[in-house]
Amino acid sequence: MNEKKLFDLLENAENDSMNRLIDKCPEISDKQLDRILAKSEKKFKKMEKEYDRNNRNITMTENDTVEGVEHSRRPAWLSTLSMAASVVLIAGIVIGSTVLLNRNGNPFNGEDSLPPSATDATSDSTDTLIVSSVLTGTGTDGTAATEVSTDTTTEAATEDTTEDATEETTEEAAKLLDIRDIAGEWTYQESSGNYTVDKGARNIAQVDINSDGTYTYIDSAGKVTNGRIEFSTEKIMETEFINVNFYSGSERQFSATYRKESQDEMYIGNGGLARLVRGKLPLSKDTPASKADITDITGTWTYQESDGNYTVDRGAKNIAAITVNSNWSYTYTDAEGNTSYGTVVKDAEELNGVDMPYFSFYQNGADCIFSVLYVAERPDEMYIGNGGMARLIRGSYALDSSGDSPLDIRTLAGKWTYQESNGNNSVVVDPIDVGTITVNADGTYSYTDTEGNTSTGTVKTGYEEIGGTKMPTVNFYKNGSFYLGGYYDDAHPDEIYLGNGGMARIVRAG
Amino acid sequence: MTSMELAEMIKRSPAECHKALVREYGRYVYAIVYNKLRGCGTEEDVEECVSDVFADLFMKCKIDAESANDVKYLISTIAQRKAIDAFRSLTARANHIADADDEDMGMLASDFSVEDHADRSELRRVLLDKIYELGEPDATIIIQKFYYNRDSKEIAKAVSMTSNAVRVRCSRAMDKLRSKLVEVGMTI
Repeated sequence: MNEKKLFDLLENAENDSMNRLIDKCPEISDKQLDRILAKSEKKFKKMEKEYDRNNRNITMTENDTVEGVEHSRRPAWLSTLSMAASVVLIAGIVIGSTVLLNRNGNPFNGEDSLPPSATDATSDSTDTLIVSSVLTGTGTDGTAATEVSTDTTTEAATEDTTEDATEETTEEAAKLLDIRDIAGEWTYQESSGNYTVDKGARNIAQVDINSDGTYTYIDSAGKVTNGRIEFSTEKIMETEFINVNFYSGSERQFSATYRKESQDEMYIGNGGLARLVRGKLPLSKDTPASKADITDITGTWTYQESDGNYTVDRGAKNIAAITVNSNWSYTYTDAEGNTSYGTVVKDAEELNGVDMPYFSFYQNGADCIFSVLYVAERPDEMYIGNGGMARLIRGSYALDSSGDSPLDIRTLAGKWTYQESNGNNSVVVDPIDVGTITVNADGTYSYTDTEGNTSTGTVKTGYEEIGGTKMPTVNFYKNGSFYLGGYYDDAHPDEIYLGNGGMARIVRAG
Repeated sequence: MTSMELAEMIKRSPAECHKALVREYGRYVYAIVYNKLRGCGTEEDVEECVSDVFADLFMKCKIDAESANDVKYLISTIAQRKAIDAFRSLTARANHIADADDEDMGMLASDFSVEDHADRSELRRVLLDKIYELGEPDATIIIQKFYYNRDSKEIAKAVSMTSNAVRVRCSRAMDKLRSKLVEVGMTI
């Protein structure tokens, strides 16, 4: 969290700092750029219209000047007429108000003349829609049904000019697309997480589109919604798109874009996060795997590594006990009783097109010591890495001691140089001296970095059995927590590689 | 892109010109807008503001494309102004609620301190210097992780490494950065 606060400092940067931040700005995906372009075009068209309206009929050149006064004569009777109209208007308001007040004062006036409510209008709409299905049942084609349905909308909201506009567009769209082109079974898909729906999708519902302009939507819980379909057109960047609008009553539930080039899918919205695909696909489970939470892994676990001959599920050594707490903290205790603490962070990773959650274990909030993949179907084991060589298994098992090491600590006593790679090659090719380590025969060490900062700790030897061979290990601990570790090779007694990546090592000095 | 090229492209095909502008300067505008809205807006707010910038730019191109001597400078100016507008709009709600205590009224004259501004500017420069001293790919990883709030998977793609390698490098680079900042008297 402190890191985040530190980087807040970079906000409102001046030009030179800004240029450096622009250099490091992540690439923006083509889809995001397309989305920005579409939005910009839409806003630009609106601004353009306003600009054209304001500048209409004014065509001036640099040499033109504005001068003189325009004289106009109003008819003499106009003022008398205006006065008379004002008197009539005021009288009308007074009489109208009096009538209305009297009417509200007497609830039993017997007249059933309440103004039609929005609900009434909607029910009208539904009634007429039934008529449209009946018409279809008697042989009317799909286009006719759409037209009737459109008329209904206009009738239901005669005072709404926007609806009139929709009607026009609907008629235009109906000429371009026939309901029979899209009639059939469809599946409603949503993106499964970090990617667009075409790269990873969850099947949310089945949608049956009927040739009479109605549809049925069935979600994964079995809930059924019926409604009607209307078409409209939309022009984006000089390309005309046909929108298929799904209504339930008077409310539009969602809108999908039909493209002739791709008739088996209709995208919903601009973000590529939802679509309809033709066909009836099995629906996804209601709770996706990516919704895993810390409570799913809270409890006691044992850290297992392969015994060296097989994958961890066939032969394992119990390395450490781990307790995961519901407040996203954990405790790690190895076979020798060394305990370290840290935090657990959840993230997601795509596997075969599906986002799978994984949990990373950060020691003291800084170093990620390992990440585990959580699979909802196997909640009692979580694998580390892809090789099947390490995992966490739920429960507490007796830990395997590292046993007597074939390596005597006194062999290591002396001064070593700690080297790291320069980032481009392995440490063998481009080593950089980062600090010096002095290992003492009593199992302690002191580490001094190039700036002169010194820290101390303990160093322990152990072994790991790999393919039946005991490989001596050297592990450095700082404040009781594991800090660095590597394998000792008798053939190269003056260098110990740390980790598996060849990015760091210690070499004997002098 | 020069103003002459821009004017010619506009004449040829406005739609193509708009597309080319977004492709070429999208990342540039995003970075400028993000810098202003990082603390107060969401990713959607940033995207909305970026689209506002381009809409203004398209309008400018329509009216007078040839007057802009340097297109990049023009874009930078529009982006900064739009981002400041968006920042004000997003933070307006917080600003509308203020204690008008009589004793504090004297302090309302200005909340801009030249001294603080200069200090922040210097700290910002030092911080960026120290991040750049880490070398590549650490500098990119650190900035994308903590400033641009990208996750390890996204950064991994950018620097052609695995997510785990990014996490480990990030952790080590942060340790180094801490030490470097402590040397110059900055603490995290």
